[in-house]
Amino acid sequence: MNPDGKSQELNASQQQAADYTGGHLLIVAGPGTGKTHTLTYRIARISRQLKTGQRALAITFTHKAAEELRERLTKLFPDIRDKVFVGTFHSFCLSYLREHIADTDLPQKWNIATAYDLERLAGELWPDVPKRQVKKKLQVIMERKTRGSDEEDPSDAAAYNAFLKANALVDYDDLLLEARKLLSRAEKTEFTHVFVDEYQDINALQHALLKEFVRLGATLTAIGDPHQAIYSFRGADVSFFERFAEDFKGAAVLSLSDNYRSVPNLLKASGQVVPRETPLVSALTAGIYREGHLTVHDAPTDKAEAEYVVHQIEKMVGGTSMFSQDSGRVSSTPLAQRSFEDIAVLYRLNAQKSVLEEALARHGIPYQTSDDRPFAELTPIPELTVLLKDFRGSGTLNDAMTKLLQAATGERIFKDSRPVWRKNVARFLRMAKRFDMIEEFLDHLALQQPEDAIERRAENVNLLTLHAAKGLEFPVVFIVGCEQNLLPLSIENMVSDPQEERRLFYVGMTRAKEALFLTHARRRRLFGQGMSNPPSPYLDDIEHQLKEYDQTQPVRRRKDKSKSSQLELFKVS
Amino acid sequence: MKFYADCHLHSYYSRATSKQLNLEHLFYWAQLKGLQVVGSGDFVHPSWLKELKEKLVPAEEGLFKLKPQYADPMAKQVPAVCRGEVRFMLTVEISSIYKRLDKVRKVHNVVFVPSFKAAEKLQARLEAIGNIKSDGRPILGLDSRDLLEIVLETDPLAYLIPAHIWTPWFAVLGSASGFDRVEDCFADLTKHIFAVETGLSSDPLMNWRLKQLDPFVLVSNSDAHSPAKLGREATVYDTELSYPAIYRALSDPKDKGLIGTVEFFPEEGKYHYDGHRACKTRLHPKETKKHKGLCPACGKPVTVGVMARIEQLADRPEGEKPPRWRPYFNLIPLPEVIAEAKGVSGPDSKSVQELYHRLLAQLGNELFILQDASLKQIEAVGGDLLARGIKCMREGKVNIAAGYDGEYGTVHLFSEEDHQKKEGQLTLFK
Repeated sequence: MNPDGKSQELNASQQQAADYTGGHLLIVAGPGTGKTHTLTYRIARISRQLKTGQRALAITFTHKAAEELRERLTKLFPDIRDKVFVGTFHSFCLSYLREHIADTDLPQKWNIATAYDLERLAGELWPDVPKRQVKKKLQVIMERKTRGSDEEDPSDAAAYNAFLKANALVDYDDLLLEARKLLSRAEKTEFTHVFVDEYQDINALQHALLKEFVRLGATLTAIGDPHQAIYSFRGADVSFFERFAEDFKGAAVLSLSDNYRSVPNLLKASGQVVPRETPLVSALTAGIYREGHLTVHDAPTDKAEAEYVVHQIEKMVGGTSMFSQDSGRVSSTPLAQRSFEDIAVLYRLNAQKSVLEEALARHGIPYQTSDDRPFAELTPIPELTVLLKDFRGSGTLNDAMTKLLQAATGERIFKDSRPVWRKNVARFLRMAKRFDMIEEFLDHLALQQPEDAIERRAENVNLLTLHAAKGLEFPVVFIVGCEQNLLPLSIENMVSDPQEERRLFYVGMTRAKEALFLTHARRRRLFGQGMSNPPSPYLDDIEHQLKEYDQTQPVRRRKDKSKSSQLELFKVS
Repeated sequence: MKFYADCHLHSYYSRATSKQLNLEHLFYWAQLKGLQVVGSGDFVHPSWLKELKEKLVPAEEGLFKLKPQYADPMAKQVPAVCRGEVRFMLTVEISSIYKRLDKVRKVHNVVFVPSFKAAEKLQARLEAIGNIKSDGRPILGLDSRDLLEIVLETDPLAYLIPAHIWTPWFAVLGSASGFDRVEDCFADLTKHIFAVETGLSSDPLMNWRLKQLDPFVLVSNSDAHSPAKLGREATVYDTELSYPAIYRALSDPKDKGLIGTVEFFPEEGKYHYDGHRACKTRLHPKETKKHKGLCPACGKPVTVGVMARIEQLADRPEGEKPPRWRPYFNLIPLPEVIAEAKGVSGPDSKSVQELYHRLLAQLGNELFILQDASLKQIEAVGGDLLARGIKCMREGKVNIAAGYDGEYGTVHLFSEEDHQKKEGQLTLFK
C-alpha cells in the first residue's frame, strides 16, 4: 500500500471494497474477480488500525485456502501477522476451545473424534445394528447438529453424545456447538472484525456462531458468490447469503465484476450457463483480451473419452516422450506449451475417475487425484494415529514419532508395499515434521478435509471432482461426462438439486483460464452398469458460435499406420 | 584395466523398445559389441527391479554379474573370440517435465546407484511422487534439481548425468525445452553434476565450444532401445573394474581413469541439422537462417537441431580445445558399413547380418573390428570394399546426409566409382 493508503494493485471496485468502513459488508465476488486479493487488502487495512488487545478473525473454507491467505498476508504485510487469526471454522473453534478450556463444559483433556473413531464407537454403541444403518443414524445426528437445532435430543443422539463425553471425544460439529456456547456466555471478544470467505456455503450452525460475534460487537465482512454455492448436501444454505442485509443491520453490499481469469469467449459461455434469477449478482465483464478455446467433443464411450483427453494432453504438453514426438503422434512444431500442472480434468462423480486414471497411466502421464475421504481416514493413517496417541505425554512430537517408528518397525504398517499405502505413510511422516507438539499434530490430522488432500511435490495433471475444484484455476480444464444423468446428476439413490447442479457446472467452467474442453460419451459404465446418456442440457445453453466441435477420434496406431511407419517405430532412440 | 562401458540403455519395460531387451540378451550383445560394463536401465520399474534382483549377483564393488544359470546358455552362443566378462551397473533414465521460470522444461537424466538397497530407496521416493509402473523410463513432473536432491540422498555414491544434453525436445540444453546453462537447471546443486552425455547428434569437438561445459567430463552411451544398438556410443575407462573406481574417474578431476569416448559421427544423429520431418525439409543452420527459421514447405518454425543450438550458445572458436579434454573416436555401426559396401539399403538385411556375424566369429567383437583389426584381416573375411570402407571411417572420410527433426542421418562411404568397380568384380566372379 502507498503512504496514502491507496494500492495500485486494486481496481476501483476492489479498492472500494477494501476501504469500506461503514459496518457489516457483503462482497459479491464472481469467479476470477480477485476475491482473495481484495480480501487480503481489506483484512490488512483493518488489522493495521486495530488497537492493543483487538484482533481480526479470517475464516476460510479449507485449510489450503487458509494457508494461501496467510501466505499472502504475511508476504504483503508482515507487520500484521499476530493480529489476524486465519483458519477454518473448525480450526478456529478448536483453538478457541483449547485456549478457554476452563470456561467450557469439556473435560481438561479431549480429542477430536475422527470418522474412524466414530465408526468404532458407533460399533460399540449399537453392536447389533447393520453398518449401513449406523451410518444413517450418524448422518441424522450430524444433520441435526449442523442445523444448530436446540430441540430436545432424540434418544439416538443423546446416547451418542453421552458416549462421546464418556470417551473424552468431541466431534466436528461439537467444536462449533461448544464454541458457540462459550461465545454466548461471553460479554466481549477480542475479535472486533470477522471475515468469512465462501459465504455462500455456510450452514446454520456457522451462521449462528457469526451472530454471536456480531452480538459481541464484531464487524462482519462476508465474501462469496451465490452462483458457486455447491455444498447444500452438507447442510450449507445459500439463503444466508441472500439474507445478509436482513441478518446484519446496516449491512452494505458491494460487487466485484471484472473477471481477470478467463478469456472473453469462455467468460461469455459460462455466463450463458449461470442461473439467471439470482438477485445481487451482476454479469461479469472480461478483464483480459486474448481469445481462448471452448471445445466440445462427442465420444462413443467413456474409454474413448478418456483416450481423447489423454491425447489432447499429450498434444498440449508437446509430447511426453520421444516416442510421441518422433512418431508424429504430436506435432513437432512448438505449440503453446503446457506443463502437467496447467491441466485439470474434472468430473461429477469419483466413480468416473478410474477410466481416466487407466488412460493416463497407460500413457505414462503423471496425475494426482483428490480423495473423497479426508487424509486421516486413508489407510493406514487411522492405525498410525492410534499408535501415536499411545505416546502422548512422552515429550515432543519428534520424540513420539521416533518411538512410534521404533515400535512399529517390522509391523505391517511400514511393510506393506502398496504404493498408496507407502505414499500415505510418507505423507504422514512429512506432515509430522511441521509440528512440535503431539496434540497439535493430532488436531491438524483430525481437521483435514478431503479438499486438503492434494499435495504438491511434483507437477501432475489434476484429476478432481467438480466440488474439489472449487477455488482453483487452471489454464486448461476438461469437464468429462457432460451428459444428462451426470450433469445434472440423476442416478438411482443420488438425488440432487437441479439449481445446485447448474451452479456446480458453472464452477467447473469458470476454473478454466484459456482452454475448456466439454466432453461427453454416448455409452459409459458406471457402478458396474452400462448407461447411455444424451449430452447435458447445459451444453445447449451455450450459444453455437462459442463452441468448436472436435470430432477427431484418437488414432488407432497399429491398424492405421502403413508398414513403413511401423518400421520407424524401431528406430526411436 | 581398459574397458568399454555403455550405461544408458533401456529394458523391455520401456515404451517402444525391443522385447529382447532382457538381461540374457544384454549379456550376449555386450560381448559381441565389446563392452565390459553395461547399464541395467530402468531399475526404478518394479517388475524390472525384481528381475534384476533375481538374475544378478554382486561382482566387484557396486557392479553385478549375471547368474551362471542365465549366463551359461547365452555364453555358448557367443563366438569364442568375442567372449568376455560382462558387468551390470544399476542405471535408470528419468524424464522430468515441469515448469521452471515460466517455461515448460523437459529434461532427461540418467541416474546411477551402487546397490539394490539404494535402488529400492530411490524407487520408494519416486513411487510416492508419480507413476513408475507404466514406463521403464518414468515421466515425472519433478524438477531436475529436486530429482538430483533425491538421488543424492539415496547413497553417497549415487550420481546423476544429464542425458543427451542437446536433444531439442528432452534435454538440459535442448533448443525446444531446455535451459541455456546447465546451472540454470540444477541451481544450487550444480556442483554435484560432474559429467554430461553428448548424445548421438553431437561429439566432443562440438561440446568443447562451450566454456560452461569445461567443469564436466563428456560421456557417451547408446541409449539403446534394442540390444543390437548397444555400444553404438560408449565410454572408455582404464581403472580397476568397480563402481567406486568409475565414480572417481568421472568425478575426480585428478583421476586419470577416464580415457575417452567412442561416438557416432554427429551428422548421423537424429537432430544434427534443422528441419521438418513431416515436410522432408533438411536444413543446414545457415539455410535455416536464410529462411528466417521457418520451414519453406509449410511455413511453420522448424525444429532447431543440435548444430544450430551449439552455435547459438558457443563461446569458444571451433577447433580450440578446453583445458581438460579427452580423445574420442567416431564410429559407424559395422552393419551399416557392411550394408554400404554391399550396396544394400538395410543393415538388417539377411546378407548383411550373415557377414556381420561371420566377421565377429573370425575377428573379434565389433568395437575391435571398427577400431583395431588390421585391414588385411577385414579384407580377408569381408572383402576389399568393406576394408576400404572401414579405412575411410577410421580416417573420418565419410559423406553423411545429416539427420534432422528425428530422422537419422544416412552414411555414404563410397563413391559411384567404388560401386561400379564392385559390380565389375561381381562380373568377374560370374
